[in-house]
Amino acid sequence: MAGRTNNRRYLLWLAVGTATMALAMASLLVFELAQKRAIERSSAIGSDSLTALTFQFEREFLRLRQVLSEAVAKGDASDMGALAMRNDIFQSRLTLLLESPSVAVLKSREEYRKGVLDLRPMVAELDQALGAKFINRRALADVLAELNRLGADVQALTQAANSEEARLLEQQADVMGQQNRLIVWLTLAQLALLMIASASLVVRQRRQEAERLALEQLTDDLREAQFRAEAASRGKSQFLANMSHELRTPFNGLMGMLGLLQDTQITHLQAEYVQTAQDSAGHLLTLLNDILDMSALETGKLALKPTAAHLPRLLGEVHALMSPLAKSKGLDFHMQLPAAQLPRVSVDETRLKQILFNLISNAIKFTAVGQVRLTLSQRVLDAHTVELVFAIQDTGIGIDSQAQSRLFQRFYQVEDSSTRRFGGTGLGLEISQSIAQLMHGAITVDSMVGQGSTFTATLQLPVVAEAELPRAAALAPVPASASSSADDSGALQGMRVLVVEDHPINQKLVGLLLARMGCQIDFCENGQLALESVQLHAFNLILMDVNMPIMDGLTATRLIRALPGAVAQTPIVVVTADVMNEARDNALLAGADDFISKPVNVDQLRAIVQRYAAGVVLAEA
Amino acid sequence: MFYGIRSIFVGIFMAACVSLPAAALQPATGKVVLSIAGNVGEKNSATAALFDMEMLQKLPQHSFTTLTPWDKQPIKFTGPFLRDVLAAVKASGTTIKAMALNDYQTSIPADDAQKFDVILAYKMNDADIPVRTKGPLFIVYPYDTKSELRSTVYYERSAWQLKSMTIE
Repeated sequence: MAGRTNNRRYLLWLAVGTATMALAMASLLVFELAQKRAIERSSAIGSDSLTALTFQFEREFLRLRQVLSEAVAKGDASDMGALAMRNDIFQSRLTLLLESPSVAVLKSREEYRKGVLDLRPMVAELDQALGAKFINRRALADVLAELNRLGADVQALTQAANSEEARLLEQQADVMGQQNRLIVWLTLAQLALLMIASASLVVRQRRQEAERLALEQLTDDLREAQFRAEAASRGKSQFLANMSHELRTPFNGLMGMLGLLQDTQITHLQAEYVQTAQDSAGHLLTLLNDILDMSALETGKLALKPTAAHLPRLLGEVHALMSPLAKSKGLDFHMQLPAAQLPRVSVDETRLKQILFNLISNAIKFTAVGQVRLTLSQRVLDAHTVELVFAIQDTGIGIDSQAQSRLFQRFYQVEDSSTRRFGGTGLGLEISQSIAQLMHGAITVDSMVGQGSTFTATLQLPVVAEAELPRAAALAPVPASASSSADDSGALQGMRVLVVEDHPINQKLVGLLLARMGCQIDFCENGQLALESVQLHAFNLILMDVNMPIMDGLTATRLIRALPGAVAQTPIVVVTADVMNEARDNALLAGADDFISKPVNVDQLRAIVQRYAAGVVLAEA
Repeated sequence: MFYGIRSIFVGIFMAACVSLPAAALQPATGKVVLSIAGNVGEKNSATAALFDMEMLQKLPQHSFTTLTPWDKQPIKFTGPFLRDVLAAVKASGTTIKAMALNDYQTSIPADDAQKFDVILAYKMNDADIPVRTKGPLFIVYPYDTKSELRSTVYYERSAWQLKSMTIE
């Protein structure tokens, strides 16, 4: 606002300044024109100067008087011709004095009346005397006397003309001087104005420059602030990822030990405590995974790993996991599958299950009485794509329309009060929605307060051709039947495993688990020791942690693979708490055979050991 | 220019009636009004070429009307071109010294006679010019045709009561 007022004031000053300059210049022009006209006029009128006219007049007057005086003295008629000529010339001069425009200034003076006008009777007398047939000497003598008398007046006339001319010149000089002074003042004023104008221009230019610099500075500051804010946000995400990672290591120990504890001789009450502790740990793991997923999504590091999925089996697993939860709240939970056969689809099973777990556990969480139902319907879009619609319907508290609109926002929970009642990170729905979007789908909600809600996940998934199936089956994980531990111990007996792990709790846990499977175990605290160890003994399997002092697991893996001889072929499984997608890629790239994430699950560990034990048998055979 | 066409017609008429000036200048028979001395090829006296009014009137005649600094009204002047007069006496020189009855002298560059239609006027407003006015002969420039002619330089060259010229 101030800037605009300033600008307007500046424009006003500019206008005033320009107008003043123009006025001054116009005045100058007028003066110059006036002067030019005055000069022209003086050259037109004053071409015959007054003094020249009167001087010539006086001269002819004197010559006439002399010739007349001679004629009177001689009384000779022969001189009459010359006298008449002188008279004519004199009279031509007289006429000029009477009629010439130059004489105008002189006419008001007494000398003009005496020296010119009073001459006329004498001239008439002379004309008469000369015009007579006979020379009248007496008349001529009278005229001569008259001429003598008038001599002083004629000379006075010349004097008057002289002074008049001088006065005129002085006057002209005065006028010229005055005009010159005015012109000088006007020019000075113009000069001053010009200086002021250019000075104000400079000032304005400086101010604008300063403003521009300030603006630039501001822009820089803002950019810097934005950059810092982004960096802080990135830092927070990184911190979250690191923290979750750090949390997983002790958590690994906690879960493992609880599992081991459960298998020992304990009282019924103690078993119940352990169960509660395990449930809490399980919940904590869910929260931890949510945070990890969130930071992975935020940094764009979450990638799907689609495999050919068998949907009925997948849904069976979901049902098996969720029904106890529903049953514990006294709710009905059932599934309704389409009549037609479900095709094999290419999907990241873990992530699909994550979505379904989230939606179903939410439905169970917010339903006090009634039922939760999962309905799956399919729509074939074309030969390669099928649209699957998972609708999870509950008879719970419902969500009002205002809350629905904010449902998928981060940290949002239906009611502030419900946060306390129902718990959770508030990240679940956002993560599910983000994953659904990665699967070219979306999650929508339809709800009425008090009537329950329906969450619908609609996914468009590629259909897997039948021809690809056998290979997919071959890659299928080890059957779950391996869970009965009693039979395994024999099969894994004598298998020598090197555990490379710097964390004592993890060392202890993995050691206990492997010992129970009947394996022979060696420990190393870092990659360097492992590298030395494998060159001394032959191992059937190496379990390799990643983050360790002195030499990390990935470097050790690379160096073992580079060793000469059969030792380079030792199976290596990388074990890490880093569950980002690139962690797996990095492990495989370093030369590892497989990858498992912490916390280490008993079944998972057994499956791995069994796989490589089978390899041992095969090699021996 | 309103006098121009007429003056040309008059000129052609005169040229047709009177055979071009004879090679030799006839002696003046009437009262001598102008004598031209100095570098002249034709003389009709011992020292100069003498003209009476009749001889001037026999040359091609021209008229124009112009304002002069000496009168408030425009005046019509009539007479032969100065260059024709000079040609008639076979004048050769760069300067014409003009002399008036009252001893007034002025120098006229011979070029002026070629550059401008300078008239040696013997009539003002179709009347003879008496000595009392500015006669009998008056060198007149066509002041109204060019602004450069309206200056003191040319006003001073305009000799009236012209008596004689000397070609130098």
